Amino acid sequence: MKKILAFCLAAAMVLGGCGNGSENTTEETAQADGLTVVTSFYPVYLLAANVTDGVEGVTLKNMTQPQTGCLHDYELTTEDMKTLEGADVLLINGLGMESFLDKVMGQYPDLFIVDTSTGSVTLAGDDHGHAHEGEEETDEEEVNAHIWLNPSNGVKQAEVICDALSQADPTNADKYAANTATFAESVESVIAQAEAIQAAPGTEVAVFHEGFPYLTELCGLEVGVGIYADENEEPSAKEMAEAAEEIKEDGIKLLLAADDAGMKYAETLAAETGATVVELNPITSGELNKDVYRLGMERNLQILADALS
Amino acid sequence: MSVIYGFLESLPLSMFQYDFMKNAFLAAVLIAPLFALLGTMAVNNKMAFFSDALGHSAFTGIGLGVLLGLDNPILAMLAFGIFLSLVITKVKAANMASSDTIISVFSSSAMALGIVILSGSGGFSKYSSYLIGDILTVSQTDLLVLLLVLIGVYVLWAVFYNQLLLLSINRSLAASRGVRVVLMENIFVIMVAVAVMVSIRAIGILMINSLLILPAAAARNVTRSARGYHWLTTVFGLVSALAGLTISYYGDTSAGATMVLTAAVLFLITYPIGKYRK
Repeated sequence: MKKILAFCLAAAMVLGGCGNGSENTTEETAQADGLTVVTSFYPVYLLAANVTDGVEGVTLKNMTQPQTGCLHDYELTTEDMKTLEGADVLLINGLGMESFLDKVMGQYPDLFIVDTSTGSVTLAGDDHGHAHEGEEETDEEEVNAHIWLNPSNGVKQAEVICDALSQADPTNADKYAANTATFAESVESVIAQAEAIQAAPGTEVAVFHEGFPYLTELCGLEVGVGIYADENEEPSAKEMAEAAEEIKEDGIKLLLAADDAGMKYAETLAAETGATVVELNPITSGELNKDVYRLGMERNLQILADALS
Repeated sequence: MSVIYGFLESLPLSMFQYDFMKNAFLAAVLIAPLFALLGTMAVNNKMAFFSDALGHSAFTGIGLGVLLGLDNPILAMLAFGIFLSLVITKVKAANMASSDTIISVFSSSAMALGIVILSGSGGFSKYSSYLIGDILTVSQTDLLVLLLVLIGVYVLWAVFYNQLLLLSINRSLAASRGVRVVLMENIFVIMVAVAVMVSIRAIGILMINSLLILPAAAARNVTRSARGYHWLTTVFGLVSALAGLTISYYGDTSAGATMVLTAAVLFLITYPIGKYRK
């Protein structure tokens, strides 16, 4: 009995000690290492990487794996929780993309969470030729959360990030502002590139990723058919048949798909209708390099321009 | 292929104006008899739970495929499915625990391993189409693979039918008649593993076992001879697959699930008939 008691005491001391120790270390790192900024997923990371580029004392981490893609039905892993544990600021995309966030807020009431979607121009979610027309009236309010695929929104998001970081870390405010200005300037060319594309009025395309309406809108394209398997909305046989009809009737030539669940449907409909599949990059996964955002957008627009010419 | 397409187009069904519906229909025509045949033996041998475990292990197969960097995980799924089915048979033969316990151990372990691998490499939400299957995007290559597997299984069946039947009646009896029991069991589970793995993308992990078991179970309600059992299972399999696909097209419902529901209705109809006859 004594032995057990002694063991319990020892265990309690060790555990208690650990607890205190770790609290101390997090505080220390926060002070010594400056600011730890965590982003919820890949596109937000790329934008934040542009804002914090070369600023000393800032540790930027992406919470989810860079291969995760969009965060539909994402479940937090223990690794994610560890990352959040040491975070000062959490940058999120917002508009419902981070559906797991409620749980996080409960666990880390002191975490500074920044919704980067503030001020961005949004499109309505899932309202383009989807076969449930008239059925799901309530869904019409939904907003398409893939805002970063419009470069002007990308700049807006970077500006929100800049404001938030300047607030959390006023000493480096100038650097954040300078970086954001550089980023905005570099994206100017992308916006110009998009404006130069302008397709013939009324040109329709079919999209197979919910983010792509942001890209098509830039180029003056209309979304005739939208099948969003990336949102876990696998189309039924009837929806596929309706999509095939619309593609034929409206003379849709281009099927815009990403390399994900939607690709199979695009290929199936291409075989059905003779339209061409064009692969675009939703910029939701890839290497952690700040330039990927601009390069990815440039490449997308180049592919679209080539496909339209 | 164009001959078959032409024939389907001549049918008075509007769904056959689309190539993807023709492919889905042909996939159903190939999968139904394949599963019906294997299902008869699975039901006789009380192996319904075994094939379910195999379906779940597809997750690990997909995971291994991703780890190995394969574009199409089917080879990894096949390899792992065959491996797992042989291991389960081996462990079952040792009689350490009841077979449902052993199968459950392997089933949940394989599922968990698959989820660990897939979530480790960036979340498995992009593999969720494997859960409910996707018969609408079956390609002509997929159809060819299904046809080859169907032929292979029927040939093996024809060669080993008597031995398999004897085995399903009584293991000791089969052994006393010179049947190489372990070999036969292994051949059977490998056939089930291959059939499950090549069809799983079309039917889905959650649905595949019902398609294997339900037609056989329904046929068993009302047949008395082994021959009648096999034929009726094949007919039930075809009816439920084709009716299910047609209903799903016109009723805007999920294809795989509608097929399974149609098979379940067949079971509900045959059950009282069988009861009344006894």
